[in-house]
Amino acid sequence: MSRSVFSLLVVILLLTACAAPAAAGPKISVENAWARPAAVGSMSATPDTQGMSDMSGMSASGTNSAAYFVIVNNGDEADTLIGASSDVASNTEMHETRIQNDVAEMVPIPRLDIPAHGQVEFKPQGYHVMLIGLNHDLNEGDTLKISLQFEKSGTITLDVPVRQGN
Amino acid sequence: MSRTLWMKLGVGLLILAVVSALYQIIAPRLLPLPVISTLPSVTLIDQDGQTFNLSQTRGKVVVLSLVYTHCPDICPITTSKMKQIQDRIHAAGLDKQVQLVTFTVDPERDTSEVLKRYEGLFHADPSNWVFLSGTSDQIGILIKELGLYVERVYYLNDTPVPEAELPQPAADTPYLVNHTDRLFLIDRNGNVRATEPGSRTNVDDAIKVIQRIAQDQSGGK
Repeated sequence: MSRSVFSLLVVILLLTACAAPAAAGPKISVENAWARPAAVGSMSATPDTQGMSDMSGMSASGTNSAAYFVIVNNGDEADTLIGASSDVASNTEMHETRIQNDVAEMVPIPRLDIPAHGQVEFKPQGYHVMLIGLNHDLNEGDTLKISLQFEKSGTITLDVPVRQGN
Repeated sequence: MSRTLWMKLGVGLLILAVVSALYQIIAPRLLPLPVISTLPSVTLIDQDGQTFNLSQTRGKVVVLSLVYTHCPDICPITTSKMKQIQDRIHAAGLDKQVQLVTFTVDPERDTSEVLKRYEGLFHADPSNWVFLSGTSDQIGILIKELGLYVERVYYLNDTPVPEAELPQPAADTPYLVNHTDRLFLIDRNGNVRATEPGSRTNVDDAIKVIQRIAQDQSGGK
């Protein structure tokens, strides 16, 4: 093998090695976000009660709402949704609605895997971000911000329009 | 056995299958709907703070749903379905014959004022849709008579704990409510004649049953 051919191969190998890490990892985007309207009325949110869960904000506040969206991962590596936050609510949590034997219940979801080259849909009667203890009304046509925290991709903040939906 | 006999047997079985299939399709439409339970005559409070006895609905077909307004997912879907039903009833000219009733299973938090705001969120037409609250005892009667499952679930350090398993009384403790997901279709005599799966209701199917109950003069007898 001539010296020039050998050098060319080394260059190609180095380029490949440099390029590979850039293509790896999760590549998260969030689509089709929306949230339900809610009427808080004259009541205001109260601070958390000591010893209670993060859901304590809903005890005396006006009410709650839910937000939905689709998380898409076009990357080669899975990621995990580990939290959500919004300044419109005392607390913001990931939940799943389950209907078993005709009874509806909600279950907190602390972590949710987003598979590589896959997607997870937050939708009515399924996963949703629960906005607990709203500090103001959410009217149709409003837009609120929700931040989603991913283990590897960091924080992604969404503009979420408010509308009715099934 | 001769070939002709086999053919006759085959044709006979074919006719039997066709008749059986037709019966399966037609019979449910011809036979009267069963009486599942009866709406109790409980006095509650409507979204305007006025007393409303459920016996006031006698003479009308009733579409009954349950909610709690802190519910962010299932109850709004059910109420949206009720709104669609109200619009379809209006389009069919059945407004005077059909009364929509939504009652809370969380009366401590869902006062008349709260239900009034909830009504507004869904653009409900109050001319034939009432939102009801009441005392825990009054709501409890309705829950019992309709055979509903309703259970508060408290969250202690992120762990859901059913009310019955709470280590101490739950005053001022936040909760969600696990509940039956169902709509009730009730005839003019206050008899529940059919149910639909709440938030999962197919509005077209519900309208067909409502129209059938509206046309049924038997009262379940």
